Amino acid sequence: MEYKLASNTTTRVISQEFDYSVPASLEEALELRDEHGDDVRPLAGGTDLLIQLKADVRTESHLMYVNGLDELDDVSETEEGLEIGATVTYDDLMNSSLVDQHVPILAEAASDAGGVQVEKMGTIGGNLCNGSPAASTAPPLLILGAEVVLESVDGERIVPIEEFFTGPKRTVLEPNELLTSVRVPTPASDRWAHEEIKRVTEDLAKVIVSVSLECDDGTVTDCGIGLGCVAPTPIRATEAEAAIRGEPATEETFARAGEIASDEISPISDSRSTAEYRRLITETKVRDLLVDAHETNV
Amino acid sequence: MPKNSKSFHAIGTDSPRKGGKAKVTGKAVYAPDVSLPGMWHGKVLRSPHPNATVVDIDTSEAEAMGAICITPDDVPDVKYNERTISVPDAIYRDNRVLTDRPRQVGEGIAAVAAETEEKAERALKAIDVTYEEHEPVIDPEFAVSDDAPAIHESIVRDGEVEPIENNIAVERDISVGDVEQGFAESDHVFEHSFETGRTYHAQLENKTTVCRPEPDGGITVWPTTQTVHNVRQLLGEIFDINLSKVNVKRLELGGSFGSSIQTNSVTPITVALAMAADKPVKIVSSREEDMYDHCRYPSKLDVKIGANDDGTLNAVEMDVLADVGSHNIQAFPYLGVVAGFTASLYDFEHLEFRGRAVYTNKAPACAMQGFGNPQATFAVECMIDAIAEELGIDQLELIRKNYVGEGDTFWGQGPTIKSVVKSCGVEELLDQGAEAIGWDERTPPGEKDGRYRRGIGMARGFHTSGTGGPTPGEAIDYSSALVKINEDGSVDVVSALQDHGGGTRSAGARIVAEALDVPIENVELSPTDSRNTAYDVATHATRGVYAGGAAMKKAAESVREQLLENASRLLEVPPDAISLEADTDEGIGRVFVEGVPDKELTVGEVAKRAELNNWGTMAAVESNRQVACPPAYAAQFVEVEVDMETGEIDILRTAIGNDSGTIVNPKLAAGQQHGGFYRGAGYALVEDTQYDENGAIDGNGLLTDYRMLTTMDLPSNDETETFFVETEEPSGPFGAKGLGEACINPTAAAVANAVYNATGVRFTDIPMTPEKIIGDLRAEYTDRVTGKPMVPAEDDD
Repeated sequence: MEYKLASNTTTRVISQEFDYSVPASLEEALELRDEHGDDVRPLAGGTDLLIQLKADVRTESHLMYVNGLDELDDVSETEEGLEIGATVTYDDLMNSSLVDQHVPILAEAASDAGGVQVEKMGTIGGNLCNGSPAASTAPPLLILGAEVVLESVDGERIVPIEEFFTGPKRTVLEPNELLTSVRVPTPASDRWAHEEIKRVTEDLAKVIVSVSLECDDGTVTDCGIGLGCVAPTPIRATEAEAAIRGEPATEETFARAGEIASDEISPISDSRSTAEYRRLITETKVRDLLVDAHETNV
Repeated sequence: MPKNSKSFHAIGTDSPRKGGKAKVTGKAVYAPDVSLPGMWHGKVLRSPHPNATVVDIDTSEAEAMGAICITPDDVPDVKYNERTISVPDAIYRDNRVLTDRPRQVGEGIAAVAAETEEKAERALKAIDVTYEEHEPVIDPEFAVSDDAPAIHESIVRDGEVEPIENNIAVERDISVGDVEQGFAESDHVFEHSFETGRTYHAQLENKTTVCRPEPDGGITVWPTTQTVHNVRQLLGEIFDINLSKVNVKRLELGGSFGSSIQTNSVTPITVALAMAADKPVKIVSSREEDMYDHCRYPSKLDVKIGANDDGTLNAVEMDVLADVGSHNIQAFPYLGVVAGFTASLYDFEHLEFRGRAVYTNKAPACAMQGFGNPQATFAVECMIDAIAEELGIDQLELIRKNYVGEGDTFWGQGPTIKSVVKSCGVEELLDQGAEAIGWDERTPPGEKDGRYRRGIGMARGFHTSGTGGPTPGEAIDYSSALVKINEDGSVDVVSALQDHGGGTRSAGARIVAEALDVPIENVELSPTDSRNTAYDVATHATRGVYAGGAAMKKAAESVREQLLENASRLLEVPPDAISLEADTDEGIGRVFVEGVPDKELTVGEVAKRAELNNWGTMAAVESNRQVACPPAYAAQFVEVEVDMETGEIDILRTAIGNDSGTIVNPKLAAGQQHGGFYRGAGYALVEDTQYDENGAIDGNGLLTDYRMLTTMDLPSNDETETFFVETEEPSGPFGAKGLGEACINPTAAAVANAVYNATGVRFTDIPMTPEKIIGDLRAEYTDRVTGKPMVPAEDDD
């Protein structure tokens, strides 16, 4: 999406006219979606959508408010881990004892997503459906092996999060579907680390790095490296992960993971950072975070 | 009647600020809060092109929607400069209410008014503009080349049309002594080049104006401004209305950082719209519009300093290239003050200054917190650190040997205003700051190793208290105030003096309370406008307390004489026999004859009996120009930690010291110290507006991509030591000098010097973002794991 705020537009008011629906149930929401397809846009926290509308960088003729749907706002325990409703907010994730118990890395990622206003309004479903390479919750969900539940009037399908993103602002979500929840398995290891590298504390990230690590007797048995802002979509550094599985859990090994990861990304230069810096910082931070994860007392 | 600080009852106390309760309860009225019956909303159509000519504007569809539209044909054909506080010869006029020749993205082409903001926005989109685009001029170095298209063909100065050549808005050369001789006589000559960023003010309040046309042909205006009187004069001139029919209301101001010294661009547009619509009209700028409206002067400074082995600084040469953007708001004074601030930092016998200010197709630069001083001080104070190291002299020692202090001639704001320094706390600032930060334990960069390296740096600076002086300068500088005693002994202060939020007016009330010896609770500040007050130039240049407060003091002293005269008649003793005293417990001003118990009244009793006797109201209006603009000194000490691998700079601790003479509002003054340091650290580390080749701000001018430091990025209050060295300035009200801008001027150099002390790399281009510095840092650093030197990868482009 090309922002061009020469200032003939402002972020003060939404001057577009649009229809507004408030479905009373998920069933009703799915029916609206089935009837109107991409002509009806789900509105949850609005922390991306409303800004884009005010700035006139997107046009919508029909908004459907989904934040009030009881079916979508719950965090519950499953056999494998957690099921997190699409409209669960960052603030909910940060304060949920279940999240803290099963996937604390997700609470940490949520706390990096924005300021208090964004934390209170922004939702995990919106974060993913917005399709940004900078989605705060995506790198941890990638390394956790999470799945998203996509529902339509025809039923539901389960998509691994790795297959969900197809490009900047693009996902596999069909026009008649809604993302209703995220299924997150409880990781086998408590060794993890997460960091958003930013210009200042309250900011969008230059680079997001999430890592998880499993070790046995000084050897890396499994690891996950999730990255944001360094490719057209949030990605896993699969080559780096593969290269260090079975290797000794040493700083040298982790440094090699950083090197390989920095080679398998395709960062761009934008207002937040340069491609060059993103590559350098990815190398450093992947190593740093793997070291941190390794040093975690478990 | 001189007082020493021990006897103050209002000055230096911590009673709540005037108007504070209204602010924290949301009742204070700022321009965006103003709403009038029947008011319409205005929007400005702004150029999407950085350099273009408007070929055609079709407003028919917008008008069919019921909107009122104005275009460049509908506004007075008057060329003006929105900043009017200089003498006519120093004012470069190149601007217009609306233009058919936009010279930057965001320049106003047309405007609409409609019943609601939404309708106005839709009408704005219905306007069809045909542009002829021209090649944009973004780089100031390119701007002066023969290949660059002309941004302005000519401007008007003091009634004369002047051509513009090579896009040079102003050139200003200033010379003292013989700099070549100075260098020849020096044991060493040091040279560095510096570059500073295009900082955006990011004031909280987006620029707003409400205008109501009056039945008598006049206008009433509620603007965002630091100066109601200059707005009034400019609107009177543009719209050819007698000043007696132009009333500009003084409102609360939601911050400014210097961005509202000039009349804001939306103000004349709102007036033109309101007059066309014959209705009250309000325009509130969006943040995106505001970011294209003003910024700090970005500058390149090439500096050469000649010094002797013993540390004596002999000569300075400075070449400055400033990028003024699309309009020359105040580049002439800017170059003058950069020279003046440099001359007043150290006692250089020889000075050669060459300044050029260049037009580009970007947002116009204007005054911003420190105006020229953050730029000059960054360059000079980094040089001082470098020279001290080269000469093997402690930096503080080098400063002590050379600074301009008590008894020295001081340039103030530029070369035309000179006065002699009468109060100076530099030595104490250095001593206390060094103690607080642990200066003596500082180790040289060569002794640091490892990935995370800590360093301590410092810089010194000052700001002038206003722009006054013994002779008239290039800028107008005086204030006015009316003080009157009410019939119950309470006091009204009626003044156009503006308050940006720093507590200037509250300080004025303390000064009046002190001068009249009545409790501070009995003094209130009246709502004012340009019609019921005498002239006040503006709250800028760190002059609010020193100059604005001095005018209030002068009026209060005049009223004090009247009070003593009336009391003399009532108590039947000579005025000299009467004492005044603030009884803060009882909340009254006591009027008494010492040692004669039955000869006592309250101020209220004197006022009431004067009224009953038909003696008239005890009141006085005074205008006052300060005959100096004394330096308010500052020293800042900083400890940083630098991550050699990522280029991230963390400020760990700071000690911030100021000599502002007598401190009037202690808590608010400490707030100024914190605030100045925050913006100064942001100037050093992160704040900047970069433009792409199409003249658009990177990040599209969204505040999301204009990052500023917050409490989360800077040392906690526990790690921030603020202190004052209270000298007594003889020309200031009760010994006070200025404060505000002094708090930002040394910060960038202090941070850069600390980074040097940590890393051994001297960065001279601010902001020092990790992206800019990582290459040089990594070159200094060897990877602790692989043992191979870390060098930056090639860019993908």
